[in-house]
Amino acid sequence: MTLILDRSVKPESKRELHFELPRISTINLSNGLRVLFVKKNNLPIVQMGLMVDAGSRFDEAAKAGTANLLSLLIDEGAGKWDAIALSDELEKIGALFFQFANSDGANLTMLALKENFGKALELFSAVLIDPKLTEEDFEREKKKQTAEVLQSLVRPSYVANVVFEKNIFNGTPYSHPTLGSEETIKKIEHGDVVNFYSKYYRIENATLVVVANFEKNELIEKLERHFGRWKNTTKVAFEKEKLNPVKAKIFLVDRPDAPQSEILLGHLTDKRNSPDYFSKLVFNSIFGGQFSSRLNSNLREAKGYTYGIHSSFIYNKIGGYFNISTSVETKNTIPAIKEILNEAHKIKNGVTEGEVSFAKSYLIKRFPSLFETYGQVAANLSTLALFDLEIDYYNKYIENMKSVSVESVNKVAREKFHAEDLILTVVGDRKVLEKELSALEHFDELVITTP
Amino acid sequence: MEKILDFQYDKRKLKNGLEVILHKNSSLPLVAVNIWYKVGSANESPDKTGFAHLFEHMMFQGSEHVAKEEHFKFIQEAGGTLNASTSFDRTNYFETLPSNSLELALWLESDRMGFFLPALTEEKFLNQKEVVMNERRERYDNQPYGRAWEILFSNLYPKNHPYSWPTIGWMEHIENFQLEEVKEFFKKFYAPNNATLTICGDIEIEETFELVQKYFEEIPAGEPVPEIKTEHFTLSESSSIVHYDKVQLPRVYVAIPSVKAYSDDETDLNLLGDLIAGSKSSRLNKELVFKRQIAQEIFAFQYSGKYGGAFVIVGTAKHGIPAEELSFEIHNELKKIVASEVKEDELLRIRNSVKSTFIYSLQNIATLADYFNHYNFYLNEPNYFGKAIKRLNAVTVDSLKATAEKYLTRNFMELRILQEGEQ
Repeated sequence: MTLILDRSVKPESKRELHFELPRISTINLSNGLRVLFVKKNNLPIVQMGLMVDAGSRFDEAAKAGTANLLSLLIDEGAGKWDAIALSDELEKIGALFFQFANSDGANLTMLALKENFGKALELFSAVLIDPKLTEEDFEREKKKQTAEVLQSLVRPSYVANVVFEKNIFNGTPYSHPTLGSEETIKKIEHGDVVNFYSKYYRIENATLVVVANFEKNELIEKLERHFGRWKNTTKVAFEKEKLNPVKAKIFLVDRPDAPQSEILLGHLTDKRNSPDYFSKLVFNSIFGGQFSSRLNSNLREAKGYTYGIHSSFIYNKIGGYFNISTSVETKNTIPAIKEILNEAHKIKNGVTEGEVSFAKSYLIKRFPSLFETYGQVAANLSTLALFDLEIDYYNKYIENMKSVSVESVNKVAREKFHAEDLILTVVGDRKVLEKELSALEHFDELVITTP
Repeated sequence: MEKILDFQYDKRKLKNGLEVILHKNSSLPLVAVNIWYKVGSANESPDKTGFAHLFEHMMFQGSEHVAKEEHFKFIQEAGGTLNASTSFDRTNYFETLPSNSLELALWLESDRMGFFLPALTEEKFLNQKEVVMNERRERYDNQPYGRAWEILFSNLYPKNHPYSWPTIGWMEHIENFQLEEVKEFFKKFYAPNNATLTICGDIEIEETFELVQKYFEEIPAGEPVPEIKTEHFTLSESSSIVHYDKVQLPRVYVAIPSVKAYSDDETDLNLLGDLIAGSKSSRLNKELVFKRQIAQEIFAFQYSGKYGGAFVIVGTAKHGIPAEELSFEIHNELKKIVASEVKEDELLRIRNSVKSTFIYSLQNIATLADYFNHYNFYLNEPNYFGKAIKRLNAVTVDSLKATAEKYLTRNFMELRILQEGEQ
């Protein structure tokens, strides 16, 4: 006979897990290039990435988009290969090469099979060290970037983000979009991009990350051969930048007859390596950082206003911001904003023990899964480099997470979450929204704007 | 390469018809659980579309022993991630957890497979209808080009063909669904004999199989699900339709009726997509994006399902280039492909690139588990990985050329998305 299973009891987890954190090696090549390396064995794959402080914050404001244009151009021919030949060589070895710029940095990344690593390095290093940057390729990529701007400006989430960052980073080099605008791209000349390359693509501001099925010594020898000849050590002085807090304002972008409003609100916050980072992570997890958060449970699972609502702390080199984003049907715009503000005020009064232990459990127990793919490990290494974190940051991760308490989260809620100073961006139908938005007491002013 | 693509597995069937596929991989202390229910939007009727997907949402609303919102909470609390998706052919539910929490996933999955109905309420249903209507607004109605696929496919396929309506469903259908229909749908499609459970990761095979028996064996089998009948169709003529949207750059979609999943020509068609637009030097990219710069981007691919397939080419025009001109040039280039030879070097590049990308995709066990279910569903052969590579190796310059000739000369359905206000 079979016993009837008692399903009313949730099964508890069995046996302790054994998870060994990958060991991170720091290597300095003979020319000074810093390398972060993790040996990973499960597939014959090599993932690498080079990150250099050459993001759009270094764009001249009138020529915003320069960093991005260089990043588009850099793999259009290098060394002995023109644009087409280089792409063919990469395809022949099945290597995936991506490059992109954001506000802080420019990134070159490559995924290749181990058996083709030599060739992959040859191509990768050529792109970094000997890009052709011809005028003809420049004109083509410039045209491409202009079209990309036009295409992005019809996406409500992009528009909301551009307007939000323009205002929250007002007066800093982070205020313009990495893509630039039609107008600023027009002003970029071939010489600007070439200069940008020689000024900012330099060894002391670059980090190479490698995750591969290789022994360290074998790797160093290969890296020396291909990257050793990189000699750009020109000095650039970095300016110290300060963020300027913005007051509670609404920025409305008209999208006539839009079926939904895109909503984005937030405020400035401090740097990624501030000591309360882990408490902020738990705070965010409880407030809007995952499916079972207060915001999602309320606006999606109770009210049905949205397909999803999410909050996060977004960091860059000099600071960052906290934001909340969602999209809702036009007629629910005002009720949804009010509900978000309610939740914002509510959490200022504190979180519960249960919420903190749930969030900590979620963040601690999922830790091993952040090291599953070669790409994930490489991204973790890049995070160390980007935010100048200690090399044993991941070794201390669990311990740091465990030390988060109800008190430390409440301190974040009280002192680091500025519910009164939120700036709000809405991309939606002005004729329906303007009157009620400007009547919202929470905000001082409504500005009609464009990206 | 053959060795790393040979994934050992155990496949068994419970008495109630549930198929179980187990694969051990202990490189990390993780386990991926992945269930395919053999029901998708193809099982709907044309006057009630979007139900399979809406139902997927309801599966997260709790079951007899699991309260609303607890399904997500329990898995997250254990350090897991989870989701689900609905396509034309199937609905999958999946979670990856630390391997010591496997039993939690089996408890949750079995509870919603066997004890879903007692927890169903009107309130939950109305809430998820709202959520899904917002999903439709966010991902389709308020996105540039967001409605393109449903317009293209509803015009390409004959009326009543199961791929002629979108998986998300038409808004007026979503709005009008009734609670009673959820019950009927569950009884008809959500039985163990219509599902396959795959578990991959840091597991012991026998122990895991016993756990699966413990949680799933007592769930009764349902009635067999009737097969969907579709008829082969061709387009009697090529045609073109226009849709106006809030876009800046016009876009042209060309869809050609082709073959079902794993038919003879399918691999050739996959590679034909890369020949046309897989890299910078692929035929259309090189000519229209790189040299002449009248297109911003082009992509081409074979879509294959259980009940039909289409070969699709999509081109976005540069600002100031009319859709008409881009369309003319695309068709012109396709004619050139038909008239020309495929080079060995070209094929080699494409094949290497596709193979490597395939290997890269096997890095995470959730994807691996989904592949097992995919191959099992379409081919009844979970470990098809090596054969997939053999099929790639079997493509020759001659077969690729013949495939181009056969399909690119067929009648097609074309959709042009133009900027609103230019009517």
